[in-house]
Amino acid sequence: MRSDRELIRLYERGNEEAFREFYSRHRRVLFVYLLSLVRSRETAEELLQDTFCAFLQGLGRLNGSVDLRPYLVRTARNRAIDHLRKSRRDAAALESRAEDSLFKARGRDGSERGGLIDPEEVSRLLQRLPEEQREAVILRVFAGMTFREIAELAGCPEASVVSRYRYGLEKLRAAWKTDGKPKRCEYGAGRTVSSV
Amino acid sequence: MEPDELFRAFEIEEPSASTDERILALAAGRFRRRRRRRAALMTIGAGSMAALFAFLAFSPGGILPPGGGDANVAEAASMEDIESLREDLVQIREMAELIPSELDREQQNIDLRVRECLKDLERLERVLESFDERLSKPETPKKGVNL
Repeated sequence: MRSDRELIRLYERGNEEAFREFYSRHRRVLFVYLLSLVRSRETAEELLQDTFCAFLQGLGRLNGSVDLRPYLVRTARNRAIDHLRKSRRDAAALESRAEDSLFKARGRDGSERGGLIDPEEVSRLLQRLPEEQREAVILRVFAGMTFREIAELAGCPEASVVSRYRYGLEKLRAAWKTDGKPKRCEYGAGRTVSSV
Repeated sequence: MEPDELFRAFEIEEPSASTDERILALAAGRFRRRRRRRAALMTIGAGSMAALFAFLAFSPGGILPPGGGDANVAEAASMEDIESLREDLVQIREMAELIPSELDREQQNIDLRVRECLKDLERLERVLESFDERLSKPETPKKGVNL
């Protein structure tokens, strides 16, 4: 499999297909991360477009040693922070923040919503985690980022990210019934205003 | 089932096809714009090179000197040609300014080469002027040989 760097190098030489491959590699992770931050599918899509637009514009200035996935995640995060700051000024918009699910209705095993495991309920539980813990869990589990990379992104020590991740999982575990079904919002309503 | 295992069992959401299309179109557009700029530069560059070659080849003292041949060839290598070449080179420089800032080095290289070409042109211009001056001077009659 070609590395991200290689794909971007090919794209810079005029290979559009290489960018397609690069994009398909990161689109889902970035989208779900943005969705977890802004909670609205429509906004997450707009921010995803902004993220790639900024990425493409800044390609020439990119240092050759920069790891592209953390770089993209950072760009996406900055876009989301800007958006959340602006939306804070509009209380009504904040109240109406939707909560679109992070998962598709059908699981990889083919199980449908309403079965033993309800993806929407699990998504809700995840979204109810404090933001720092949720970010650590999402970036670790879905984006496959290392604790160090997440720490650099969040601007905190690596040990803090490790504990955020562990606390996050513990809270989810506690909210989980032994029969495999999640309890409803076991750890409260969570913060409605993003603290990122 | 552990929560992290559970998440992996689910298929995460994805952006809509229309968003995908917009982003890919953005990338393709950026690439095509660059390709167009490059093609324009190459066209102008090739034109200038051809003109420069024609000038060097047919100018007095060039590869194909006009002396004894067609007088029109000498006329072709006139000051007008030099002026036209200079305009082409200035245009190349202007086009080079359109090169995105991330390609600074390429832009500087083109600028440097154009400057060198302009200096060469000036030198050629001076040579041509002195040549014209010499041509315009009436030749002193050579002494004949009485047979």
